[in-house]
Amino acid sequence: MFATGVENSIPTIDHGRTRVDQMESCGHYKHWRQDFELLKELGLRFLRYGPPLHTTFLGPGRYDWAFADETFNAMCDQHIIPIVDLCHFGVPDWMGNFQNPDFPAYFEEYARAFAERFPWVQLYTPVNEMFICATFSAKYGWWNEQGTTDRSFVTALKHLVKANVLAMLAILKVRPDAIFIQSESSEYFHAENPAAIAPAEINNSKRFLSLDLNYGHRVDSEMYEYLLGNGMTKEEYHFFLGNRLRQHCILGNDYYVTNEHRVAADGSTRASGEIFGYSEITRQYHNRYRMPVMHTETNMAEGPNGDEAVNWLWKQWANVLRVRNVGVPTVGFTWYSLTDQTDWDVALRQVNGRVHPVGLYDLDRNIRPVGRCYQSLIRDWRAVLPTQSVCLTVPIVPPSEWRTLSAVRQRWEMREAELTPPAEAANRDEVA
Amino acid sequence: MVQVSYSDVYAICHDRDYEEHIQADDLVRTGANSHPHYRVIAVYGDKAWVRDVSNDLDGLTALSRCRKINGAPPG
Repeated sequence: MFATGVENSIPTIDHGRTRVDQMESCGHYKHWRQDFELLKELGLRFLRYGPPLHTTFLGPGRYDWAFADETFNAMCDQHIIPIVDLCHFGVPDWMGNFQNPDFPAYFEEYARAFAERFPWVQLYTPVNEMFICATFSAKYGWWNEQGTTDRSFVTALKHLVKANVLAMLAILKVRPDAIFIQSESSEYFHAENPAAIAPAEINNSKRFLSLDLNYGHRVDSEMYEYLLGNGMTKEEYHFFLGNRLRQHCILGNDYYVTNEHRVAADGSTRASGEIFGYSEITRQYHNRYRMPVMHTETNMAEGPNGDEAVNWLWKQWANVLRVRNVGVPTVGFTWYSLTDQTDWDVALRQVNGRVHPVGLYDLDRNIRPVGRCYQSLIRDWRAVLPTQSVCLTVPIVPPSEWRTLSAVRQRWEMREAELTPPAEAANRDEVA
Repeated sequence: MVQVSYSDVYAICHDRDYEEHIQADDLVRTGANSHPHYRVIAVYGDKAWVRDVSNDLDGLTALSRCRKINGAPPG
C-alpha cells in the first residue's frame, strides 16, 4: 500500500499555555475537501489521518464528533482507506499531559467510542510515535509536560504504551479484524570512539523500549533495571508482557535524515546524518520483532536545487525494495505528509508560522516536484509490493465492502479466534 | 563528479519557462511552489548563490531555476 498523511500534531508548548495544531496551521480545517481530492490526483487510497483529539474528546464520556463525522463520512464515500491516528503528540487540556496516570484509561474510552462510531474503519495507529512523544515531552523538555528526567520519561512512556495497548484491545472488541500499523521512529546511535560504545549501546537499547512494551517483548536486564529504577513497577511491566497483540500489528517505522545520531564518550548526542539508512535499521527492528513492516513516514525539505525531496523519495523507495528483496515482508510506503507543514524546523517548539516545505503539495495546494514523482512512482510500482507473495497480502476490507458477506465472515472468524484460548507458547518469540 | 538527480526519470524540469533577469539581492523562489524563499547573494555565470531567508542556510543553484517573488508572473 502506498500512503501519505495529513499532519495532525497537537502538542502544547510554553508549559501548556500554547497549543500547536498542525491541521490548523496547514489549512486542513479549511481545505479538507480539496485535500481529499488531491489523493485521487496522486493515485492514492491510503491516508494516515486522525481527528483532532483535543477538540473531539471534551471530557469523560463527552465528544464533539462534528468534524470527524464530516471528514470520515467523506472518506468513506470517496473510498479512501484511513489509517486512523488517534493521538499525535498531545492530549486535551482537561487531561493535562502524559504524566497523568488516568490518560491510558481515558484514551481507551475514546478509542472505543471512535470505533463504535466508525465501524467501517479497520486500520489504526492508536498512538503515533510513542518513543518520540515520550522523549520530546518528558526528556528533552520540549512539549506537553516538558519533563527532563529519566523518571518523567519512563512515566510518559509507560502511559503512552499502555494507552496504545488498551486502545487496541478496545478497538478489537468492536472490530475483531482491526489491523494496527504502529508508526514508530526507527533510530540508531553510532559511537564516535571506543569510549562512547557503552553510552551508544544504552541508547540503542532504549530506542526499542516503546515497541518492546507494546509487543510484549522482554527487555534486556539493563533496560529492566532502568525502567524499574525510574518508577515502573513489576506489575506494570507484566501488564505489557501479558497483553501481546502483535498478531494484529504491522511494524510501521519512520525514517528521516535526523534518525541517526553520533554519541560522544560523555553520552551527549548530535545528529549524524544518514549513515546506515532505512534498510539496515529496518532489518534490525525486523530481526528483533519478526513482523511485517511498513515504511510509515519519511520526507525531506525541498532546497535550492528543487530536487532534494525527489532524490530522497527515490532513496527511500530503493531502501524499501532492498528490505523486501532480502526477505522481510514489506507491505507499504508513506511520504509524510500530503501538504507542507509548519515550524518543524524547530520541532514545533515555537509558533513562527514558518513553512516547512516537505509536502507532496505546498500550502496553496500546488503539487511539488516530489508529488509529481510520487504520483509516477505509485503508478509504475503499485503492482510490485503485493507480488512478493500473494500469501502476504494484508486482509484489508475497503470501506465500501465492510458490510459484505466476506467481510462479515472475516470479522466473525477473527472474533472466534480471539475467543479460542490460544496455544500461548506458539505465539512466543522467546524460547526459554 | 556530477550530482545525480532523479528528476530526469520522470522528466521533471525545475527551470522557469519564461525570461527573467535575476541579480544579487533579489528575493526568489527556486521552483514553481510558494516556498522556500531565498535571497540572492551573488550571480556568476549560470549559477546563483542563494540564502534561505528562514534559516540562513546557503546553497548554489541554477540561475534558470530562480523566480522573483512578486516578479513578473509566467504567461
